[in-house]
Amino acid sequence: MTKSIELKQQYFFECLSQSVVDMDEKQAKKIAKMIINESMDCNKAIEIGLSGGMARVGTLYETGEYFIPDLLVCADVVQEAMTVLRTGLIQNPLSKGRVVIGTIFGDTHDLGKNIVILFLMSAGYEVLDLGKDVSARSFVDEAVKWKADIIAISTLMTTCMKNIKDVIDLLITENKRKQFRIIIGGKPVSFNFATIIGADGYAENAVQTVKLLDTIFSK
Amino acid sequence: MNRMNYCVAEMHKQYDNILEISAPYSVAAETAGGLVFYKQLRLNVSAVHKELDRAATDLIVQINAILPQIISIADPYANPKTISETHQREFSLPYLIQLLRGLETNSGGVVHLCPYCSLLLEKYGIVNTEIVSFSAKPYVAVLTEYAQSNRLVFIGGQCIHTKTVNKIFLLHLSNSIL
Repeated sequence: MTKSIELKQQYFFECLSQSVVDMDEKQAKKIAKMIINESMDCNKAIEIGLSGGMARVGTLYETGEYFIPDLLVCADVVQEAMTVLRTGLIQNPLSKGRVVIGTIFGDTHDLGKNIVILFLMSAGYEVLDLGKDVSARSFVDEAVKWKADIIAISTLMTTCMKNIKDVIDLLITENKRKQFRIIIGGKPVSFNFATIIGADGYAENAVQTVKLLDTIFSK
Repeated sequence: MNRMNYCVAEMHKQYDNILEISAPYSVAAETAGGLVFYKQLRLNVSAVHKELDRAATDLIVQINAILPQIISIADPYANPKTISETHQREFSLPYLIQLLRGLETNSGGVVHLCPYCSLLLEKYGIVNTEIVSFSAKPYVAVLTEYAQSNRLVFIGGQCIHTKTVNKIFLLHLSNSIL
């Protein structure tokens, strides 16, 4: 690739990233179409333009400039642009890892979990959403069936925290604990709680979840 | 946003004289689905305002038809950490006030506000708080006592699920705003 083509490609990816930050769906789709028409690398466009854009959005969230409604609109822009870019992919985009996620048994709050899913997908993870009120049995069975790398468990209720440990206990009983990394999140849980029950990680919010998984997969 | 039908939330799990409801913002968010609603906040502001106004109006009509002894109001979706203080002020506060104004004409009972709601109202000067202290009593018993009086009393500062209290936070609504 010549230097000028490389620079042009870089410019397009940066514009795509900026349209995610600007919550400009129309612009994102327009740039995505131009990337395809110019036969540029769609995998890189997803990685640098879309995932990179979402990483910048995550920083804006952590610094208090963006809030949840902003994150959701940005994630939506990513999904729309992704749909366009997929048509230009020769093969499926590379997956960073497979995550099975759900709200633990007894808890029907799923707003936080749904936001985490949007972030994980935008960051390049494959996600299987088990929904809410999910039993330990379902977490384990689905993770095995789907060949997941990660089991992500969420709860908003203190009364349901103990049910998270049931998933870990079931994995240990069935000798499957080493097959998966377990991460937890949700208002009442903490890093300490994760350590006590034997989980592999804790994330405070959607942005932190992506960072946590990136760290886990980089090892 | 699609027009939605709102219904008053459920009675307290333990006490049948307490009706637990969400404030208009959270009612609209719960009905539309949190993600859809939050997105609409960014994309279609006027539709959201219209829907919030309707949620407040519907709540007032339905509560006044039931007239429970104690109404407990919370607004879990309007957390400023989630939606920002600016959004909270624009989308949650006016409709919470609209709801309180609609209930104000009732002749008795207690309107109980979750501490987050009452602190918000206090912060913007919509209520003044008076603290009344006494020896420890079950919170529900205290609220029920206040509900017997022939004028509507606004109470906040403590969670409705608090078991025992030794003080109560009476909220006096500012006439200039309400």
